[in-house]
Amino acid sequence: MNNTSVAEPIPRPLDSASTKVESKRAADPFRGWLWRTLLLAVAISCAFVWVNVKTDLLGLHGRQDVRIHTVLRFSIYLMTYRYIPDNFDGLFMGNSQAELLDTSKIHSYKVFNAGLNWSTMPEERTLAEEVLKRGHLKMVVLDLCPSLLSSHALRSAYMTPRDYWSSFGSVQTLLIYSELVLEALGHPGPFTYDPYGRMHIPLSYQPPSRFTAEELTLDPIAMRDLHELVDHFHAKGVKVYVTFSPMYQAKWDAQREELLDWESKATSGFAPGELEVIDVPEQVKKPLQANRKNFPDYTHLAPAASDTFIESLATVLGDKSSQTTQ
Amino acid sequence: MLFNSFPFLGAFVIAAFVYALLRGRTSRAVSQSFLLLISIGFYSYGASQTLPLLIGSILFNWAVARRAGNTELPEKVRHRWAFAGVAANVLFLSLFKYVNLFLGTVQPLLHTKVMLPNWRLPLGLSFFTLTQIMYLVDCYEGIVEPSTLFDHASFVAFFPYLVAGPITRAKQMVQQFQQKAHAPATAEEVAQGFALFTLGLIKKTLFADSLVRLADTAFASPTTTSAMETWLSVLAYWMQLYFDFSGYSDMAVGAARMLGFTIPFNFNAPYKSKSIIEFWQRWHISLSNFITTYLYTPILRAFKGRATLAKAAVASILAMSISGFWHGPAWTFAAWGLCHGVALTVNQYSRKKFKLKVPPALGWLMTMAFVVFAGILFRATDLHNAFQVFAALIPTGGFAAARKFSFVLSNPETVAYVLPALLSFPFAWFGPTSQEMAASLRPTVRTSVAYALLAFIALVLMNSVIAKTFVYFGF
Repeated sequence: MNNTSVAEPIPRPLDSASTKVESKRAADPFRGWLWRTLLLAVAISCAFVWVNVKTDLLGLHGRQDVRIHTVLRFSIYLMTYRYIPDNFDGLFMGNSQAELLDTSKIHSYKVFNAGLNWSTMPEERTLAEEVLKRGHLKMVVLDLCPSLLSSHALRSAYMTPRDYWSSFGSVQTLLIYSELVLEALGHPGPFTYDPYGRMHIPLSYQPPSRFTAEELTLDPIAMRDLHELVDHFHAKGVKVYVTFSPMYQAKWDAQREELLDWESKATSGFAPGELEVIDVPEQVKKPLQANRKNFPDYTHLAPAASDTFIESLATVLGDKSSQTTQ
Repeated sequence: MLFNSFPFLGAFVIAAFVYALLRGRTSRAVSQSFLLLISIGFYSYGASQTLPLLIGSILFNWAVARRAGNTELPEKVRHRWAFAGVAANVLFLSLFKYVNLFLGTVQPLLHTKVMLPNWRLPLGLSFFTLTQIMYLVDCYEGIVEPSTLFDHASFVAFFPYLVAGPITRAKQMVQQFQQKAHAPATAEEVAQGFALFTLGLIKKTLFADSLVRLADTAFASPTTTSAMETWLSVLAYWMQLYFDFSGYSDMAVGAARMLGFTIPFNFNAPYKSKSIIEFWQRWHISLSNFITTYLYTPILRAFKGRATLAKAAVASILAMSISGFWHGPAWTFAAWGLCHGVALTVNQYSRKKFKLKVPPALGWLMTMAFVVFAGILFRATDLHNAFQVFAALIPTGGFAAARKFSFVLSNPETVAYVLPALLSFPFAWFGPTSQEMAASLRPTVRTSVAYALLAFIALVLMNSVIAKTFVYFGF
């Protein structure tokens, strides 16, 4: 078989170091080494698990003073296991526009802001279903915007039931510890969150932008998730409100027809009473939308403007709540 | 069962302890039966439906090998048995791997509509079939004696290599079953095995699983990914494939070593290669051996007369194309094999005929550039997807469009996979191989702490996300 030495383009492998790994005489030092190494690995792992359970950074074991941490989706997903169901009866859902709103200003319900940066409906649904499973939700506000419904992509490898086990020790928990260490050293990250889930971010100037045709297309899977979620809310007696965050007037005017069409399609196809579209009064909304300074990056509301909006929305929700009780 | 899963780790630790006890204190029949049982158990955990196929294949090849290797039978008869056995194995492999591709390709040409069978590729089919083809040929050629059914089943089903190699020959394993029956693995063997397994696990969980997140982007959406991100994806895939497969192989060798068996290494720092010939001496070594012995040499022998460079060129192109096709039922794999066959031929001509001497740095650059571009064919879902990725490498629409990335580094989740992904490059180029590290293992406090920390990191990484399967499990 080996008379082909003239030309053997695929010669046999080099005599590598692998061949040097030969069984040597059994030596006792390796026995001790093995036990030491295995016990050390187990000890470090157990210590890490113990630290994670003790610190209980996401309230899985009953801690109440928790907040969202740097690994946003991992944090918020695990907070739906205990912290949110134990402490809130309302959810505010949406993407970064919703995430900036201070839901502690809503007094008729205790509302957690479950808005996620660049989120899609399937992600929001995952969070809501977890809370629905464990909590006593009474009310939900869906802050709809094009990017929430134009895709069904999951933006993270997290937000799965696997995260529960990861809470006992994972890269995610290591990232949270590094965030806490940096904060203790006086270097907080650019994104911070309060106990109601509101995100604080520095808004920087962005050039004006238009919604693309792709962004204004409703993704069938995202829409299916929206409909199924609303059905689940309805079945559990949760009141569902839909709102649309204010948009800079020039941006709205530039694509008015397309946006109105999008809004109508996004809220159609629901059974009567399944959801209610709410909005802040015109005298609040108009000046808010007219002022360019209220939209530093052309998309998100500046802190003062977002407070005006949520306070007004809180009044609307308060009125609705009192109507329901009457 | 995935090596990088907690159920496997737990079950393996218990099984290894029990096996060590049995091997020291009971007969070979008992300890080897236990090994066979746990091998079948690990296989069944994820593929119980295809277990009958594995068992059927083992029984068939054992029976055929008894005739092909029976020296009392006339040579002609033995040849017929061996030929029929190999043909049956190829047919068996083709039924599950290539029927759909073949029917799907000819359907439009013949303007017919045939219902394509919806057969799932049995786990490890490509590997256990190849292992047994080698066994049949070795029996026929008298390299090994036909084994008993017990030994043959233990050899084929041995769990460390059953699903994705290294492709191991019977003469390497059956002897070990017989000779080491009453000697448990030494502490040094177990320590080396542990070191190799840990290093493999780190390669998989730290590097490969981080790289995959960068690698997938361009192949998933080549038309919308920027040129710079496509380059990043293609380079990331180049590294992912190495760390994924060599990580798996290290774990396989490590697991076998912990049980007291030596199986061949599959990789030897392939990304340090300075020519494509050297690359194949260092990459997927067990497949490279198979190609040389069982494909290339027989093809070359089929040509009458003295072996020449031209005949060798044809043989290597054919052999590499077949091996490419073995990877999966797609024309991309055949194209990948063909490219490597051509590259090997060019390399051989440049060396032997034109006596070209390429500076090492240039040789490395050319080899790696070729491997990276050929890797696009290997990863792409089909030829159209491959062309799209090739096209996306060329920047269009200005600098701003070319450098757009779908991720932001300010997101900690992104940092958690981009950082290890970047670290993997110097590790592959300059780092020692796992076998070198295991071979130089000394029982000191420093190495003990280092390996304990590595094991801890691997466990943390395993616990961070859902375990990702190995690339070669799909072949």
